[in-house]
Amino acid sequence: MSSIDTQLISPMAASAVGAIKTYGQGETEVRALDGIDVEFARGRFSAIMGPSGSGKSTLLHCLAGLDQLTAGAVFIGDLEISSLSETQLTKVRRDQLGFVFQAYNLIPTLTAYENITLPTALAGREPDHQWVDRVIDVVGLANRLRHRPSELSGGQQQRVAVARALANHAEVVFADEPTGNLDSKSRTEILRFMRLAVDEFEQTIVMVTHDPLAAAVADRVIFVSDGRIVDEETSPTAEALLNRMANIEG
Amino acid sequence: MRGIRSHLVRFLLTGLAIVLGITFLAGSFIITDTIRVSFDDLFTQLTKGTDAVVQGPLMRGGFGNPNEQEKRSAIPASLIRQVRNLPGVDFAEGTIQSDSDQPIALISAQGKPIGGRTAPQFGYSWMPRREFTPWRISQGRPPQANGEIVVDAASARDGHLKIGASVLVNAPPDKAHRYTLVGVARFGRVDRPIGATGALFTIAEMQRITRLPAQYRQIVVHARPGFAPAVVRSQIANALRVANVDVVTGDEFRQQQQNQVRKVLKFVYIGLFVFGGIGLLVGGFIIFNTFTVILAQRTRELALLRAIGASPRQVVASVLGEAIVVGIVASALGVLGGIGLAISLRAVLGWLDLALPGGGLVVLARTVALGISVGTVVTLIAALVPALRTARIRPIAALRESAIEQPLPRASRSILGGVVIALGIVGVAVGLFTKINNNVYYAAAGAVTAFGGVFVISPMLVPPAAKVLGFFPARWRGMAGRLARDNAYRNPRRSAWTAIALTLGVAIVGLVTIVTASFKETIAAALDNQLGTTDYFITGAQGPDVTNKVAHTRGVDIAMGIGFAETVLQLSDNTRPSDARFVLAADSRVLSRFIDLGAVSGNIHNLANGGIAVPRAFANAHHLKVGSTVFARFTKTQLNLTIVAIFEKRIFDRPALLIDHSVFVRVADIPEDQFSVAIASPGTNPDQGAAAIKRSLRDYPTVQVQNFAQFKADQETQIDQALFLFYGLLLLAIVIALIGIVNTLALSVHERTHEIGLLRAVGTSREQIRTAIRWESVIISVFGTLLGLAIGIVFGAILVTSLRTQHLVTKLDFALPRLGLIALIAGFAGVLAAVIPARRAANLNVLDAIRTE
Repeated sequence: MSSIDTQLISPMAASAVGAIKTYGQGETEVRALDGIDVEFARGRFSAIMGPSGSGKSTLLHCLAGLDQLTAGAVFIGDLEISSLSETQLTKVRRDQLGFVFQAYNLIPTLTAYENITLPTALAGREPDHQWVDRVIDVVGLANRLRHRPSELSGGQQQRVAVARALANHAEVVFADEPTGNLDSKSRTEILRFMRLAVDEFEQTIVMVTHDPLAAAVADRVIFVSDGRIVDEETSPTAEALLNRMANIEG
Repeated sequence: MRGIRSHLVRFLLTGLAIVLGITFLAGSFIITDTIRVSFDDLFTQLTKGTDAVVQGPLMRGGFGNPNEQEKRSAIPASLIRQVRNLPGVDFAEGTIQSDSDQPIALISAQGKPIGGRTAPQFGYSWMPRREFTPWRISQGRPPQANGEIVVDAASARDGHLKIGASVLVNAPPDKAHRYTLVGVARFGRVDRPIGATGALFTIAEMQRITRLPAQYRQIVVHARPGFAPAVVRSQIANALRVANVDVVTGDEFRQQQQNQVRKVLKFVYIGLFVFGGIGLLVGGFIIFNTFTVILAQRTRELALLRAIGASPRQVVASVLGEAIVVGIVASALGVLGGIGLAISLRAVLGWLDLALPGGGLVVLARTVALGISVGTVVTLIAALVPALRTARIRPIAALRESAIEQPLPRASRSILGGVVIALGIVGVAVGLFTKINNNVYYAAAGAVTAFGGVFVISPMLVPPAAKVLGFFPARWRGMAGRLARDNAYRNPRRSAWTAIALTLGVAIVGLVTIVTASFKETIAAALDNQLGTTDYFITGAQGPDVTNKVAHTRGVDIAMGIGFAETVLQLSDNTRPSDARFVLAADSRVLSRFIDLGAVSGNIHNLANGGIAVPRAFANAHHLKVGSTVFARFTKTQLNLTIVAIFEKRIFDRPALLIDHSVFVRVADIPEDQFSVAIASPGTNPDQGAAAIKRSLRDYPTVQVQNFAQFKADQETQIDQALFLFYGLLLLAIVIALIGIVNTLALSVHERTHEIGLLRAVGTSREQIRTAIRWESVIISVFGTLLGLAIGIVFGAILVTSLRTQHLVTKLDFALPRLGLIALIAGFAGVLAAVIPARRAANLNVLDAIRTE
């Protein structure tokens, strides 16, 4: 435990150095990541945009320890996770990272509250009750805690997923198209909540999206195309992002 | 059809259940057919060149029960001269085989019977003519003098017997004799037939051993060429018309012998078919459950079909079409599996030295046709309910997340289930406690009905049971344990029906365990009550000589032989009471020293002069007094007996009748004691006394001298041995049930792929995933087992109560330690069943799993 439970001195919450990811061999080789160097600052909301097949999701999965690089290194804080064993990676995911996927983020047999405290329960620890109560308060789910996921709306389910990441003091929350499955009202709700998490709790969030409206909530947007970072925007607006995307895809 | 191809793994798993069920059924058929044909062959071989047979008349007596073995008297040896002189007779020989009631044991150098204590042991007279016997000398020569013996090849090998060696042979009621081994013989193509040891003697020696001086069991006749067997038969019948004999052709004789064997084998068949039926029932439950799970998983796909315009009827037809294909293919594989099972069973029999005499396996067209049609029909029926349920799927379901959770069935279900269970129990009660015709079928139908009711309500029991059973893993295994508990009842119907096959197997095991434990208790109590004064039990060699020798041993005060017989009584009012069939035969002069009869009217000592003693309750119920006469049918004869005494207590807790040895030898065809009992003289050291008895019985090498505790333990061991055979067969059904659990778990893991991926992503370790699935399996298995034990206990209690009203059992023992052990084993089996699904779940690629919907 101690070997990976490092003090994070680095100002960067997550970074990749010379990240290369290839699928297949020889003629059929596909380069999903083609030498990416990127850093995500602590306490910031970053978005990764790019067209379908650009490698943006692969980048997120490798950063989050869900996928292995072919070459290069990934760091969470100062800890290089690309060289960890599966067991060590599992602990990193449990204790230091948070995840929000596009849909079905929750365990159907557990209540909303149990889903929120799942990572600490998996670690066999008592949750930080005060902190959890505060997170729940901010998420606005206090009266929904005893419900099971099937009794929650899509937006509420995504909020529970974000709350799960926050409740565990995750160093970084990785969100993979978290608004992809939502109606516009729920989408606005969850984006506002993620923004709040960054502003209120200094949470670090890295989000993959192809939706300019979603990415516009971030502090910084990087653009990925053909496995490379092709552009960056530090004060994004939806309109500007839409134009950039049009250029990249065109 | 596309459904099958795109869900190959799932259909393989469904098919597996059918394959196993049919394997069981087809295996039972093949084994029974093979045994039957083997025995038929055995008799055809035994009497190949026999064209006519002269045998004694059927004995009078018997109870008119169609399953009884026929007993025939022996015939005078002198008749053979007349037979040989007939024009149609080429040659004829007299022959004697020992009866199964008179084992002729070859004793090894260590003083133990060769082939084991329980193996059948037969003696035969050597037949010089090859036409009459399949025995062929493989070493040495046939027996020519009365002190010579030939043994079967397996016994020679096992007992390390060499030509010229001295062989000790125990043939009760005589003391053991020594013979010189002059030859070794094989039985046709095998070393010995069906595990029975064979000893061959001269005809004169067999006459002495079987106490049939100047007599034969049969005269076998080979016809002169040109004379048909029927012609020879009438010639012989004509010549011997004044003698009291039956003359039959060789074919008729073989038919008679086969019928006798079939009576014995009938019980083996029934047993195997019961096991085959249980196997199929278990398989049917698994198929039903698998189809339910698979179709639930395919809700989306089927709803999509509906959305693009398929009618409900078309959806049902497509599902049933798949069921037919799966059913036929899997049943065919099952028949092949049955052949495999039969081959391995036969190999096991071979290792146990019970090699069947015949040739290859007997696979009848009937077996193949029945196996395939039963398998297909069971699959269809099992698929019908889930298929009809899919027809109700609304097209809109295609757009929703497939429902993993299913609500509990409505409460009306549990009322229905309760009513069905009650009906079943009534059926069982009618079958067991009334005397209507075919009551066994009522009991069987009632048991099946009650089980159907349990099947209906079992899903209702899952949530409370899972919460209670899940308490432990949730407490000890943290989050993984809680996931296990929650998964065990997230779909109560699935969990219940996954467990139901195990429930069935365990219910039967529990029932049998309780019944046998009650029998053991009954025997123990009977011994305590009636033979409590006994110091020594002498078993393994019986007869007046043995009892005499024991009585005259220093340190023995008194000894007595005890024999058992069965009778059917007819009273002067022409009624036939059924409550007193068991007859105890003993020495009436010393009886009261061993057996406590309570108050006696009349005089027990008068039994020595003939007559019978009956219990008071029986006498009162049938208005009998000392001096009344009863008409009694025994196996050998029937006669009038006067009641000379009426006693107060029941013997061995049964309404037993009492006769003296002098009557016993007249009424029983083999009036052999079961065992002898003795009381030590005051002040004798028990161990020295036993050793002294053993010494005075040194001519009877198979004799065992036991004290009270040893004898009691020995009786219980014998029951346990029979029980373990039964456990072995049921183990197969339980293995099938476990494969059903593996099957459902694998399907559940498949269904929860996304969820498992998610759990892994947020930090659940592989070990935690394995733990969760392992404990889910344990909860389901233990639930199924406890439900099965509950059913077993209820029906065990009912059955034992019924046996008590018939006075076959007096105690009810729930054998709780053994039932607890069964529950423990089931929990461990749950761990085993989870191994493969748990490994699959733990090794899922996290990213691929999350992408799965």
